Amino acid sequence: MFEFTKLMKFDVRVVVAEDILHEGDKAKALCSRELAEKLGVRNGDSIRLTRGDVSVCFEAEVSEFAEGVDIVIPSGYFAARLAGLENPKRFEAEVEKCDGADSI
Amino acid sequence: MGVVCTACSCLCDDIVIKDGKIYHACRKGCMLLTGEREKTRVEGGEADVEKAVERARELLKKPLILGLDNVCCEAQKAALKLAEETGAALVDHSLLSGGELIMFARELGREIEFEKFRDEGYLSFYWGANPHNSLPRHLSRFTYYPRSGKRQRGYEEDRFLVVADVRRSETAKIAEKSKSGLFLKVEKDGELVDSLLKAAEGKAGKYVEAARVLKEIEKAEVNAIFGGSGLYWGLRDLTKLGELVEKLDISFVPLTSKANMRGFAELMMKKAGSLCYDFGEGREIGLEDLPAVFESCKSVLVVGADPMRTFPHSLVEKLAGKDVIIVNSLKSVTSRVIDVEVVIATELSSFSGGRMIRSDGVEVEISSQPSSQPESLRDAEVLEMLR
Repeated sequence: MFEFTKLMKFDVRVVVAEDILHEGDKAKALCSRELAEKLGVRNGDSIRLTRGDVSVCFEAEVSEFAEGVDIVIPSGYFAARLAGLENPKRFEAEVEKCDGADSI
Repeated sequence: MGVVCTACSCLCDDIVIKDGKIYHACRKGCMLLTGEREKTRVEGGEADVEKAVERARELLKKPLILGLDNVCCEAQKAALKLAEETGAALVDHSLLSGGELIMFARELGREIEFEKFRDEGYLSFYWGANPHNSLPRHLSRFTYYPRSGKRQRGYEEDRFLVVADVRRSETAKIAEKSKSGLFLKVEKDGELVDSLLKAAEGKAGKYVEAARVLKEIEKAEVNAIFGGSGLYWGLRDLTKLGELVEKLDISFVPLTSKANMRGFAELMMKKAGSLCYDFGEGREIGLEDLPAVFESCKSVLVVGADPMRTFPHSLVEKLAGKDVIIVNSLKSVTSRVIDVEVVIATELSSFSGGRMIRSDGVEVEISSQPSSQPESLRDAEVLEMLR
């Protein structure tokens, strides 16, 4: 079946936060319930965050700890790929569904 | 005396390691103390320290010395001397997270020791910080949960927790669920500062909960704002926050997760007058100067850090093709993903002995401990050898 949600893109608010549980070799991101419903994402699905010309694919986890913003990514290798100097903690990015998450 | 954990700037000194088991440490501390250790290598092959140091000295030309926030004060001093002698640029993480708050707290002069707060403190206000992850034992050792001194009834009656954050973090959830807590979900941190200032004048601002915060502050003499990096990046200009702290007559303590960032900031302010400094050019380094500094160096000496995890890759990419030397105790992403010329394995700060400065400005003595890797040298010794 054709997944039309794969064609959807949204601008989202991203926060980079220390998160010992989710930082590791595989890129993981916490998604707010609101965004997950909008984008059609469930636990374990993959999302691509794009900021400027940099994209990173994350494994999504729907979490209450992302409520208030749209996405929380653990500080570390993958957050460093997306973060810029102007504000490495909070920034806006574009999100869409994708297949598979990045790993180191 | 226990082992001092150097995983974050709580610098917990009650860690016990017995029969291979670690007691009292948080998840972050356990990860540090049991982390996979680095091996001394030259161009990919294992080598002894003397050979590695010799090769590193050959490569150290107009270097950028990077990191230093997780090593002892002695190592930071040795790195500073090395930077002066080689004309190096000295850069830590403070420009990206925490440095401005440390400077702000030093200028304001309203800090409080964690132990004093543990014994007397009532309202702890975490702003732009999520200690549940960044300083996992901060609430239980110093602020919200302890029964100590004048606060024997702990969080049930003798403490109040306020969390201000853009998201509902783990710490925010604790405040939200507790009857002695309050979570302020902020859109813009500046608006909360305005609301609190207005509430102090008896006026209403955007956040009506500001009046409750002030009411709780009036209940005790010792209250504190613990500002995290989210607070700085939310405000950028800390002038009004200074006014607020003065007006509410409360303490302000910067929360930095890097174990000895405070120590490095103190050293640099004393010796160079700024957080980061280029000894080759003889000028201070600001956030906007970082791309040029990374671009212009000829070699990089990483000390106790993992730049591929902690610096934006737009910056780290500028180091491509340069000679990289790593002095570290634990295996890092940096040493895994990029070609490193020299890796010098050192003893973990928790075992090596020395001094560190906690984020509230208190000096913590770290006693040297028997290690699982007795052949490893201390960071300070290696940096002295590189001079």
